[in-house]
Amino acid sequence: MQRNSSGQPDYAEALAWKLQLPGMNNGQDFDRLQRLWEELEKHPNKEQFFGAVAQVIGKLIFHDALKHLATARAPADQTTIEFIRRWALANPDRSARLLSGIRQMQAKSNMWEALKSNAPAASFAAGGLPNPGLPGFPPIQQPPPLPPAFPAGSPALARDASVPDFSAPPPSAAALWKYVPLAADTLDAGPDAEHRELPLPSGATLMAARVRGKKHKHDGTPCDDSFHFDTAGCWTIIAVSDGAGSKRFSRVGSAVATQAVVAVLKAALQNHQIRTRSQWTGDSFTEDDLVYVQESLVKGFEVAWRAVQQAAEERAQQPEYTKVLGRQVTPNDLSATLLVAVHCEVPYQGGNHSLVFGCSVGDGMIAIIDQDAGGRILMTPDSGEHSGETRFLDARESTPESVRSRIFPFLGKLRCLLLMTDGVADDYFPNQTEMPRLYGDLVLNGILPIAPASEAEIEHELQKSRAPNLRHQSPVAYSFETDRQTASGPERVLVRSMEKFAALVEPDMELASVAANPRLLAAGAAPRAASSAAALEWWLDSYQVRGSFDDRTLAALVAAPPAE
Amino acid sequence: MADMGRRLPVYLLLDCSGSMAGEPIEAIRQGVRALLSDLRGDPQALETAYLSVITFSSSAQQVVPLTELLSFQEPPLAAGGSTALGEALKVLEKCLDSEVRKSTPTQKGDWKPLIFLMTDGQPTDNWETQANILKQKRVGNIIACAAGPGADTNVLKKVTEIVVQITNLNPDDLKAFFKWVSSSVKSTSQSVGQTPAENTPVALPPPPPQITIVP
Repeated sequence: MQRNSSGQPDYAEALAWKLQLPGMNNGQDFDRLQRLWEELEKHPNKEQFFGAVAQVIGKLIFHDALKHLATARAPADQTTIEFIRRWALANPDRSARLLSGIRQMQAKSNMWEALKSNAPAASFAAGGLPNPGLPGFPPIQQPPPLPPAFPAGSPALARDASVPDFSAPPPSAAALWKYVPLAADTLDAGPDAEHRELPLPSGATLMAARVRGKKHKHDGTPCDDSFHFDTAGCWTIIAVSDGAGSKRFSRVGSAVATQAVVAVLKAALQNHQIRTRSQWTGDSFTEDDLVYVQESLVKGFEVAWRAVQQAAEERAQQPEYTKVLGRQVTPNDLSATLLVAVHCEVPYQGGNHSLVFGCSVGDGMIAIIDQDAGGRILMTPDSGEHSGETRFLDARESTPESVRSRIFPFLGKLRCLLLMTDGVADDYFPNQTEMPRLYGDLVLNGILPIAPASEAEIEHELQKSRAPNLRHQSPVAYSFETDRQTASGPERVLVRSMEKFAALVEPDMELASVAANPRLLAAGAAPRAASSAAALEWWLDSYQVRGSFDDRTLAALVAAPPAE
Repeated sequence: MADMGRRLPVYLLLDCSGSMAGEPIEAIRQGVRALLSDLRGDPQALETAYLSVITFSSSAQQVVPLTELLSFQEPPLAAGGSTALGEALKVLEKCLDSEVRKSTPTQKGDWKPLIFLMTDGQPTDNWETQANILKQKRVGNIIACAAGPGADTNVLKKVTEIVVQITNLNPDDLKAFFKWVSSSVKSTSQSVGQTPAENTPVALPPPPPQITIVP
């Protein structure tokens, strides 16, 4: 048996190994450390040792642990071990101090002497832990609730080791992604990311955010996505656009197309009222007031294409653009998709209903999240079967006939209207069935509101679920921990996951049923951020899906949460 | 479900016939090793590219199934026997059918596979039927490399449009080929998601001077 300098078995090493601190898990020492661990487990005074170690951990992880405890009310579960392990991995220097701290504790304490004097372990259980009496540490009143020893291969450990998590990028890829700022002379470059939010008089909220994708950050190239929104009378108008990745100035196309289409629709709809109808049928949409809205969309796409052409013509005269391309700019260099939705509320059947028209060229998604958290897609995506083939706003796609064939109406109650570029839409494929997961992710991460519920109501709902103790668990249990690439290096972030959450609370239920249950969702939701749009930007920039490197843009019109 | 995402399948079809014995087969071993370590250093390749190896001599077999780069184990390669190109193409077709995910309404399929075929000799089996099937099916982007003076570029032209040639079977030239394979995989993994149309040929980086493009 290995002894340390004072001739004691190096239990600290065994414990550090069990906690999987970095450098302690090389596998070669398995038998020795396992024997050491088994010896420690049988030790009558192990509780005392664990208590002391917990103090050291508490000291060293102080700041992070506090943050963790703020969300985890009872840390005595596997999640805490997981937290410590992950903390140690993320903070190698401090975890090295942790190990030496544990050793120091062991050397200073008299407990190894006490072992010989056979103090019965039962006395700790009955009367609380005696104060180890160590300098620098306050006395502890009761043993900190450390988890029971768990054998190697227990589920919490096996999950990482043997079951590859395919939905997340491989760990070593995460470390290879770089964040390269844009060159100072990048033409028409906007900020890397932006978000905007607009509360509406109706209690609804308009918000949008876009972020530069992993690939563009890595290559030092600009974000090609754009969004724009505005209100006009009772109308809200939202546009998002994804510039073609293969075109050098597609960011210009996406920016001018969204600006132009919103401007046209704002002017056209400013004073336009929808008649109150006692009956809405399919025929309603062929009546004047509704045809007018659709024709405004047609005009909007026409003008948007003209704006793209004009932006290209202006740049064709400028030598710095010619220099980049080796020729003059053409509208083709500005290729971008365009997704537009207009919304207003109409009185119907004794309440307000949402009237929405969606219209788009190219891939991405326009979707309604209805009252049951289900998705309705307001478009047929123009993406190819096998490749990233898509259509862009051009002369052919902006003709009145083409645009008319792409208009999709909706009348009904909704929780939110979402427009997104394919950077987000592709991560939620097939769109029709994946909308509840997107909705759940947005709620869990504090971006979308959820109908207010009392603690008692939430607790009641949880008692019926498979995770009755959820409120006492850390959100780590239903989060992905990932690295977000920022200008100042990778930042460790915890992103809540609807998929993990649903598997935790109702593993036998469809995810959509969990998404439709506001009280369950409320139990797992992060507190609403002060700015929903800022939270949206953070989420877009943080969540990871393997093979998803694109710019991401999402715009939402969020109905006021129903008062219960 | 958040599934595995869209993969870029990469198949290496390597001729391990008797004429490759000695230095050439060792150069191929090193080439595969270098290819792997190079791709593992590129985050986009690491997240998208999956690699498989099919070897052929008197018969053909898939020695490594389509595997993500991090779990890829280098296959043992030994030279000996004849050149069963037809059988190799048959194995390839089978692997593409079973391993490459097609797009369905509920699943985004894999990106179009990249297939690198390297041979140094004349095929010794019936290969033409199989070459026609593959060409018609447009299964992926096949890049064929005729290595050394014994290789027949006319045969390879019947398998694919893209044929390159290494005149000498020396180790440095073989390694240069694998380096070019690596840059091709990297550039393809970077351009996935923005391919303009389904049937445009894949844009490969220009090959190094040792490798000439057969028009």
